[in-house]
Amino acid sequence: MAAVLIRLKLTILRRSLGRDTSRLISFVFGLVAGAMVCLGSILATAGLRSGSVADASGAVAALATVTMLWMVTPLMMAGVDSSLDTAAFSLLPLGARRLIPGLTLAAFVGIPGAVTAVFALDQIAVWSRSVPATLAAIVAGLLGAATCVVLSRVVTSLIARSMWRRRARFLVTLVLPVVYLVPLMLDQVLQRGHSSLEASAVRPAAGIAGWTPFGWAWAVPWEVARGAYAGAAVHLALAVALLVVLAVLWERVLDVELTTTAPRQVGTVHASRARSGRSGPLAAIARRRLLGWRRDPRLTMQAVTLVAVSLIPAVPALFGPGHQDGPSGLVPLVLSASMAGVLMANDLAYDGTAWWLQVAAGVPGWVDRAGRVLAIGVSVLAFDVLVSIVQVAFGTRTAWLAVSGPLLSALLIALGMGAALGAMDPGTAARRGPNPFAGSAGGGARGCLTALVMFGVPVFLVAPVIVGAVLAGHSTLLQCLVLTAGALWGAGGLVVGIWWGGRILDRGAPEMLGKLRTFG
Amino acid sequence: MQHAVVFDGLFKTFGGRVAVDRLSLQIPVGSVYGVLGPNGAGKTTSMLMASGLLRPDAGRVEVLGRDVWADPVAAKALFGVAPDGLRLFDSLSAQELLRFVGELRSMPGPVIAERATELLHVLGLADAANVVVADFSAGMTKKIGLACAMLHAPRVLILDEPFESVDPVSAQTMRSVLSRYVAGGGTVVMSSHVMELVEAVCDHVAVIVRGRPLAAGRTADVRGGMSLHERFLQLAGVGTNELGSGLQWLQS
Repeated sequence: MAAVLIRLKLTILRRSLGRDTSRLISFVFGLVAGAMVCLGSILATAGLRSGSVADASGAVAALATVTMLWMVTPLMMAGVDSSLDTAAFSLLPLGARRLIPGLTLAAFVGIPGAVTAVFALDQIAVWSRSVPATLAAIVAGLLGAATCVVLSRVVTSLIARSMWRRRARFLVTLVLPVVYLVPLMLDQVLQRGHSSLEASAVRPAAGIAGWTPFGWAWAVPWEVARGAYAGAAVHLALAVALLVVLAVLWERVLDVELTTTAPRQVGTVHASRARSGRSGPLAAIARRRLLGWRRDPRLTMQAVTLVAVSLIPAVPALFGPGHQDGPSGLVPLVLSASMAGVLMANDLAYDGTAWWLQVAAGVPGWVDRAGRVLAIGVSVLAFDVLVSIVQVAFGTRTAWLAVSGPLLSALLIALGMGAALGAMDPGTAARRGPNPFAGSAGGGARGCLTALVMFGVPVFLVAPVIVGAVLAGHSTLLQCLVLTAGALWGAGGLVVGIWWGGRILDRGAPEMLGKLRTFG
Repeated sequence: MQHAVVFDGLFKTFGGRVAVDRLSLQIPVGSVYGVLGPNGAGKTTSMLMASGLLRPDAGRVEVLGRDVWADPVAAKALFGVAPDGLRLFDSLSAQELLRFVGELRSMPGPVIAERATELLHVLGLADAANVVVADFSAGMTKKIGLACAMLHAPRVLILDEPFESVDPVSAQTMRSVLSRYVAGGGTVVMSSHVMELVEAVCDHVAVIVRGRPLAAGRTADVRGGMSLHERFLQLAGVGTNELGSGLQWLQS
């Protein structure tokens, strides 16, 4: 069975690369990046192997981080999860127990899996100081690598399933940002460990990481190497218990997945009252898109990611000393502007072929663009205003007027660029279906390119406004002028983007519909 | 006689494979016109090209004298379409979807509300008005698709496989809705491979095989004394006993 699944994974990988050049490019980039990470790991191994046990304990913290990334990454980046779709096996007379070993091994076919396997081998080299430590490292490598895969599968499956139940989805959207905070916290712990630059300071970091569930397995050889056999035994017991619990959970979840095809429970909704307010195509498109934040789990995930990713860098500024009025307070607003552009560029992919309704109704392209810009822009602007109010209330931002011009023009220009870019290419979205984290249909390279353009180009376009804001200094009058000019400049960019994107859609709506077919 | 829809030399290839091969059809006003063909004959491709959703490589489509590809906005106001295999905005409820579709066509709110309620009632979807379309069965999805196509009271309906996976009761409902529509001066073009339904519903048929029409005209003329089923198999070039003595292992 394992061999069949691995062969299947290889075949799928080969086919998807052969069919789509953008996927091939993204795979090559991934391969280069993976190779570089492996090289770094091997070099580090050589260093750690000759160093003291305390030095080498850094490996425990690093591998705990890797394990955690296996859990967090598929949740944060929709579409990177390329695991075999278990729903496809539901027609075969196979139980979860027969599939699990094969699915686990198949997860190592692919760049993240291969890199993790290299890490697991490297740590064996790091701990090969004595026979007991080497044996412990081999066991730890097997346990740790398996934990990575099983943990990631269990967490994504559980969350994916709950996303289709409305009440659970609400809970998940509350809990997920906390999950995003975990890497940040670990990073803080590690930084505090490294900041003193003393070898002895690394040990607490390893100790802390080793006692988190992510590090239980990886800490075993470290404990053996420093002679703490009791600690090693406890770590080993915990690691085995964790893997067993996860495996049992996975078996349960998988058995349910194999017997239910579409776990959709969206159900009855309260019809939005037939308000007499604005109607017409533009308002209809904007209203439907706003509803999407709530109704489409994939878009809910996007909204959560936007809020969490924008806020996380600013959290320390709220509490940390010496961060008053620092530039980090502006990070949420800058990030949310760029991400609004990315959302706009990818928006058609989320519609998929349903977009035909607009084509059949003969809706002009600019109306489509403007409706979406309105919905996304208003949402992001509301978030920005809320963040600003909190910052002013906490006293972490006083110079709000001076930065408002550049920020507003950045948001408008990013949306305009997204409107134009999104009309040329539908972008990427997670596949429709029970798993909102499932592999994207558009390929990673295209998504990365869009993000790169959306994060980079607006900076150049906003530069004149930034220069103006700097020149305005502390004069309130000049700051007001810059704000007005920035708003006009941004609005100009937005109008050009909407007009341009609309023209592209008007000319090539059927061709766009053809591209959208890949998204179902 | 004026024609509701004219297919004029439609041609489409996909990666070198010809899907629709210079297809020309004239669909009279007030007819229910069935486009028949085996799987892969080019029915769906023709329907998509006729409704402005797939650009033909060559050829023209006119709906009531308006060229669908040269003057899309004017043409799209005249017909309604229910394609097969394309999704609906299924995170909306049935009522919300109809309201959305009506607003896309700039219809006034009260008119949309009145027509949506009536359509949902007539099609037996009144109880599901507030259910999200994603939760609809295949048959219900077909019916809400028909409602979306009819909402703006078009003069021509282009329906791709409207009776696919629809149960007999719902099929009867849809048939009576369509016949009332045609009695009121509307024209229906539909593709199908359910011969009995086509024979009962359509007054005109065309049989397409490999993207070309092999027969077209009044249903009685095309049948030529046989049942439509037999005539269709004859045109498609399929014998009844092609298997010979294969599949011996299946006999228990």
